[in-house]
Amino acid sequence: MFYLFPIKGFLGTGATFAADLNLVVQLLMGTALIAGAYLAKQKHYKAHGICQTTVLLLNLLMIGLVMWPSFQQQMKPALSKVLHKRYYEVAAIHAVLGIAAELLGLYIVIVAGTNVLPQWLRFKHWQWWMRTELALWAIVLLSGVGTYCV
Amino acid sequence: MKGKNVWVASFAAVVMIAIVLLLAGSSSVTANDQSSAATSEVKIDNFSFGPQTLTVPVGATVTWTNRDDIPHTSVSTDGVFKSKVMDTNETFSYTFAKAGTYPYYCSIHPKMTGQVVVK
Repeated sequence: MFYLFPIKGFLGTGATFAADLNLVVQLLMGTALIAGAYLAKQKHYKAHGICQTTVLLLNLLMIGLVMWPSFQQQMKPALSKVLHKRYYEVAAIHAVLGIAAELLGLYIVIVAGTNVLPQWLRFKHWQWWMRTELALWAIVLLSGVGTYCV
Repeated sequence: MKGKNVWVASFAAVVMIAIVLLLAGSSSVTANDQSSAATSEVKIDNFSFGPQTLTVPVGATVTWTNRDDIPHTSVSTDGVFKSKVMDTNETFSYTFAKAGTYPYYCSIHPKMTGQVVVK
């Protein structure tokens, strides 16, 4: 899809247009997640659920359209040879934590919004897991921004 | 070629896990938990009402207690009763004066359902 856009980015980081767009979307999504947490604090639970789920699904789209193709193209072929270089280290950590955050988020949404999982596959202490997810997401976002800096 | 095999094996493993989870999930839905004991308490725990079906005599008061660490509600599908948002360990009670079947759900997590049968 992103081959339709110009190659050159618009943030002046040397990254592609798709990567710059992804960065902006990710920062907006991070802000939306914090706003979503605030909604829960204010007891607007439905709005909280809609907000967090939308971010999670939008991120899945960004992973599929931008991050995964980029990882396949730039990281995977060279992973074993260049992992000691800082850029690749940060990108690899970002990828691993990002996958963990997305999977945990999907798990929370599946348990809270569907009957797909049986009781024995459900965590307890949901507030703790939701807060962990938010913290993990923040770390992933920071490490993602870090790939632009190193 | 080896790398390709790893990807195919990973994909197959994910599909197998998904199938197992789906089967396990569907069996838990069909296993309808039913209670006809004198108890008139419904516990809300881990995103489910327990028992899922509660049978009580006419005039009984049913109390819902939220044992989850996140908020839930108990709202009659037919508009007969509606709790406020219950935080952890908060309760809601309703007295059933007429016989009938009263389905209800959590308005925050609508897939959470249960029913009270009044005889």
